[in-house]
Amino acid sequence: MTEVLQTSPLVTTDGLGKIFGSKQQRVTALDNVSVSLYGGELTLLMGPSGSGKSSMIASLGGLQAPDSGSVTAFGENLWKQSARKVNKFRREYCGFVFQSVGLFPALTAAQQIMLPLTYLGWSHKEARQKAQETLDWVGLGDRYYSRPNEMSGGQNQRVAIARMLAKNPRLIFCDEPTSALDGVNGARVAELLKQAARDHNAMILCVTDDERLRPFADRVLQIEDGKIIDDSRAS
Amino acid sequence: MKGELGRQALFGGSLGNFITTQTDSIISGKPAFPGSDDTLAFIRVKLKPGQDFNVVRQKLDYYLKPYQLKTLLPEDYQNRITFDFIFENKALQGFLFVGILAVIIPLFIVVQTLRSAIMAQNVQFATMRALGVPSRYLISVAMEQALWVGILGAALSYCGMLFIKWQLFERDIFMYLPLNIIINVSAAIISAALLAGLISLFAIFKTQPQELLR
Repeated sequence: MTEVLQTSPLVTTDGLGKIFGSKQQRVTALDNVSVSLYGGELTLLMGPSGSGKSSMIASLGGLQAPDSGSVTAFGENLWKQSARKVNKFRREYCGFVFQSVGLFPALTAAQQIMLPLTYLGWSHKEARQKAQETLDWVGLGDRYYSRPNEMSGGQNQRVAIARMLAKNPRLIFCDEPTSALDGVNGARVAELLKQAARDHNAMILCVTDDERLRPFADRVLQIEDGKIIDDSRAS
Repeated sequence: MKGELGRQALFGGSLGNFITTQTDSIISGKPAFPGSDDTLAFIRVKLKPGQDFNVVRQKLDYYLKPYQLKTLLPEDYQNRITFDFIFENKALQGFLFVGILAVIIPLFIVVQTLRSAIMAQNVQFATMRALGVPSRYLISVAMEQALWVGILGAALSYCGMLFIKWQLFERDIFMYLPLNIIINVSAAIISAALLAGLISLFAIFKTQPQELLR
């Protein structure tokens, strides 16, 4: 494994808790989770279904407030901020890759990347340049004008990664990014994520059950019943 | 002053308009055709050059009100007799009903199709929200789609209407297609599309970005 320069963590959670339902239907998704995540690292969050993986990403990524505990990112207590500031935090610092890639069927690969950038205030020219640059980076420079139905699942996932990386996020959250991909495409996506962590000095937290990703990880967190039961680093 | 223009007997003067004997009879209360029991339905009135229609109409309406008569422009009169003709004719009533259905059903289809099309993209919209794209931009994307669907729907409806008109014309049936109806129907289609877009927004924003996490 490549050595990672660890400075101060980009995100820290302290006593994070999240409960769904009430009384008999009560499900503890997160139970007093405290963890620090660093830039330049690809961290896998693994565990069985219902173990709290998605709740963890949602709380760290500014998508869903925890019931207790805190998330500190860039020195700010995220969930003490107003909803507007949480949105701003997500806009400025976070990138997401979902299993459902969420590409618009009618748009070309370049337009998928340009659309959010223009809405985030980039000029059309800047957005176009960035689209070309990120598509080149994910190895799809020749699919600039391709629409989702003209590309494979792996290529679409790479477009989704390019779209996420285009705004240079420091915190990247991936939810099962390789589960629908074959071995070759899965490995390609994993390499890209690892490279993104290095090149952008970004923290990547990747929820997965895919054991094929383990060799690419710098760190693996094992979660069960809402608790981190194992935290191992690649040697 | 009294005179004749063609076959119409006219009354008038330097301060008023030339009017027919029928109008004169209504205004004066004297019989126009002594011994006749014909009921007057329409009386034509010609304006003097340069005279303001609205002023003349106001005066005439004042005098004609007790007789339940109203002043109309030639084009209003044309529309009125067309509609009277439709409402008095059973076959045309049926045709009118079919025509109204032909507008309402496509409108309903446009609304449902558009709603489904926008809602089918709720994953994409939720992803955009997760990436931090402000809601107002997503609303503008959905509403722009709705507007274009509406414009396209209105254009297609117009083409369809022209086709039906042509087909009827080939069978010696004249279809009256006034501009105001075309404009109103087009506006209704575009409004329905925009309404469908607005309704779809509720579904779009109901899907939270965290629901994309499995």
